[in-house]
Amino acid sequence: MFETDALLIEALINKDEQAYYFAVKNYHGPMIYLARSIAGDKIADEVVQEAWLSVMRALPKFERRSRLKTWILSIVANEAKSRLRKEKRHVSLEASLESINAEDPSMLARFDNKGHWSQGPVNWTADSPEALLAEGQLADCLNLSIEALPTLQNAALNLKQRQDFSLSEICNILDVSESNVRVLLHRARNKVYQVVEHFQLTGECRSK
Amino acid sequence: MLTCKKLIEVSSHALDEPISLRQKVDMTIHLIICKMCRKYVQQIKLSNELVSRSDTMPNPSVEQINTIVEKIKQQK
Repeated sequence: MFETDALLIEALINKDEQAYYFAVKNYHGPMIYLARSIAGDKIADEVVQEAWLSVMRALPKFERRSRLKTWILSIVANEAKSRLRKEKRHVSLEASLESINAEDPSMLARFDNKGHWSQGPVNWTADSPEALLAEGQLADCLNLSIEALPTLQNAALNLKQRQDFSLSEICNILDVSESNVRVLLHRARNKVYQVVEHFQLTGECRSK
Repeated sequence: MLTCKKLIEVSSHALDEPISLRQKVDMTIHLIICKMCRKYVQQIKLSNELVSRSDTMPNPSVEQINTIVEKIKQQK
């Protein structure tokens, strides 16, 4: 129906009810997803409701330098961070950013001081995603471990891996630098990698 | 010459965006000689693919959509 951003934006500004339904149907899911990553499950619904109102208010001034979806999600991220600040829960978010510049402890122990593997990768029993997922509870384990990731790593991984945003779009949404996004993704992936590896070795889920 | 530790970083970047020719060459050479890094690269690609496939995107229910649309309409 609204094949391009331009068509949808125009219809929304003109208070076209079909456009409201279309936008909410298509964007509400990703908005909730992001709000949960940043602010947690309990207040995600409220955050997104506020974000919708902000989106509609700000839409006439949207300069269209990015995709509509990217812009909407950046509003959600801002709203979520504001709520965290209001509830004084922003500390963990800032800590999450600060720790970016430190070495990633989870993989550090696997290399010697020359940067060679001291504890190398082990053989996995399967070499395709289907075969790995066929092994029972791995999918649940993965979802648990992704949810348990630090806020920004969780958000970055979901935005990249499950919603296919580009690095620069993720920068815009989360309001962090591109090099920070790269580090966040690298760490999140390594954490997931170690969860899969542990599951392969022991059949158990080490989600945290 | 890349160390294994550096290679795992570069291989993550390579998943997201084109890397420089220099990095490509360094990575290729390293992977020719380093069996452990070859295994790691194969596995990180697999586990990445698993993340994409185990999607838990929430879909709004009809009631949720209606509620939000009502709130939007009520806003002046």
